[in-house]
Amino acid sequence: MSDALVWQVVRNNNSFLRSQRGIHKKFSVEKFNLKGVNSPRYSGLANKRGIDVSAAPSKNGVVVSLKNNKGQPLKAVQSVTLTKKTLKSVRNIAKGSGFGKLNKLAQRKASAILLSQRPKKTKKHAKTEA
Amino acid sequence: MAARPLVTVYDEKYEATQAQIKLPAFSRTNDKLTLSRLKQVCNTPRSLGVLVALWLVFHVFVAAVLTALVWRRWHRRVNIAQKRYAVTSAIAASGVPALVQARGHVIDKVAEVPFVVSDKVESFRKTKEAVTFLRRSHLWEDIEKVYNSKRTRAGKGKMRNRQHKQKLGPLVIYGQDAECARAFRNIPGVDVLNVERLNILKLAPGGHLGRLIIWTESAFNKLDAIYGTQVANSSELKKGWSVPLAKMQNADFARIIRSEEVVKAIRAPKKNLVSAKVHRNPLKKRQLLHKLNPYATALRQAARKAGKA
Repeated sequence: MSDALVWQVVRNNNSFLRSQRGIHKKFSVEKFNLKGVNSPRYSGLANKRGIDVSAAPSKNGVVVSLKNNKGQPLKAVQSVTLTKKTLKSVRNIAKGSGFGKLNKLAQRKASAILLSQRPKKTKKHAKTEA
Repeated sequence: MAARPLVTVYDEKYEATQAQIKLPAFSRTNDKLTLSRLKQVCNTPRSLGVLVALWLVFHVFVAAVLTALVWRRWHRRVNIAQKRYAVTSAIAASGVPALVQARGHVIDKVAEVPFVVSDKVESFRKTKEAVTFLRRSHLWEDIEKVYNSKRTRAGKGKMRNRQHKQKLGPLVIYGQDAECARAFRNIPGVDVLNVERLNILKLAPGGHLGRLIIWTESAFNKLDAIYGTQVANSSELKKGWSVPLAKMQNADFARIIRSEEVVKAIRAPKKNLVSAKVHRNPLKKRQLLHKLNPYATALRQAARKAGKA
């Protein structure tokens, strides 16, 4: 089934759609949607190929997944966990597998994940006089 | 005509068997495509008013979804051809992984969609057997989702004997042995159907396409006989019926729009677009004022100095 047709079925109603009052934009949380918006360009459902960056379950580093057009989820998805030189590796993977256009977006998401994984600084409270 | 893709048959231990079946005629989803047009059969309040019609015009897609009618006609007759159309479309959609995922099924580890298993599964009599089978086939994640989704229903349905709500799991479709329903029916979210008596409300619940279906081999083999092929009147069981023909041979919009014929017929994109300049007020924009009157800056500074002094 062509991506265009899948998109027509999926665009207004699917289990990944998120919308809120007051925000005139629909978001979508499926895998392989790097931007998280509901649009045919970024959709992880209506695109046979795709790249995804998510947080590693160990909370250290990111998982980069690639989806090729073999159709079946199990056969089509390959993942690799990155813990060192993350951004550079993300770039190499994205560019090497034909996702040059999504390269920056993938890097941005990876760096946001890395930022969130850093240990939180505990704020030193000013001592109050007793 | 492109060859029909083959589907592997898995046994009850989730190992691929030698058997491979051709996809039923209407599920061919590669380049030649059956248009999925679903007209929901409306005899429950939940599904009433959901009318999904997918039209493919020459190169324009129009999808119309009409929902939520305020008043309800509880029973209305639907033409038999439309019911069959709906069922075939729903089955075709259940063979597209993206649509199954979009409906909310967890199929990340399922080997193949459509998922066909050997007839051994029909001989199950104990739920324990069915559970082991589902676990081995990585379908249990979907049942797990059902368990986690059980919640109290909002509204007055609670006092009308509909206390809880939960998501739907996979649908088991058998070909011969109805007794296998005993093994599956107590697993939350699972429905069991006979391939000869398919129910659109189970195939596309709520009017949403893409239910996860577990076919047994005999059920899957029967599909062509029941719903026919693209030859006219080819259905053996449904009189005068055959599979709806594709409105378009190629529904891949991206490919059409980039095809040689289309590209030739349309003019090249205008790259140097000149947009009209916006006329700003030089009295308010200092840079503009400076362009018109280079002395203006000096004048203003002098004025300010004079004001300070």
